[in-house]
Amino acid sequence: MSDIFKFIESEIRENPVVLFMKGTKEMPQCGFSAGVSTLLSDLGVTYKDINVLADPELRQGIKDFTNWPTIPQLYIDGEFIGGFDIVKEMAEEGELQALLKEKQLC
Amino acid sequence: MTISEKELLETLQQAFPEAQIACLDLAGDNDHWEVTIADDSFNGKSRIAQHRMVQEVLQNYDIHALSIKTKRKA
Repeated sequence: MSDIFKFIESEIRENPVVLFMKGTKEMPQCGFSAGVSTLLSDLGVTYKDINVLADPELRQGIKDFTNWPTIPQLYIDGEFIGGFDIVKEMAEEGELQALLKEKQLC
Repeated sequence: MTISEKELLETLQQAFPEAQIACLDLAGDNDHWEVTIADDSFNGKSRIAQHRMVQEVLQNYDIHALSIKTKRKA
């Protein structure tokens, strides 16, 4: 396995909520990344933000790892949840809150 | 690279012939699209699986921003 896949695996194993995004939660550099970041913050979730723009290998690597063509990508408890569209829909329908509550993350 | 509404709609219609499809040009530049697709083929599939079906159809197009909404047919 490549080093970048190992890095991603260890991040999603060691952190209950991980957001791979463009920019940081303090300074997002894309509207979709900002959208997920704000959703999580509004729900009071503690999460780790990983800026894919800091590393070109990671920027491509996360797409290959998840088999998902876009960023942001949200992982909860080691499982891929979705990008902005899916996370937003889940939040609107209360599914995201239910999932976080079930995992005692908010 | 951009894609015209006609080409986008036709590509999606070919892949989802029975679906109700709407394409919205979010920025008026043919490069920021929101597509809403209602199709029975999504039934019983996870959101991730539904989105992957749409991503696959558009994988050869380099669209700057693509927002996808999938649902069952009304």
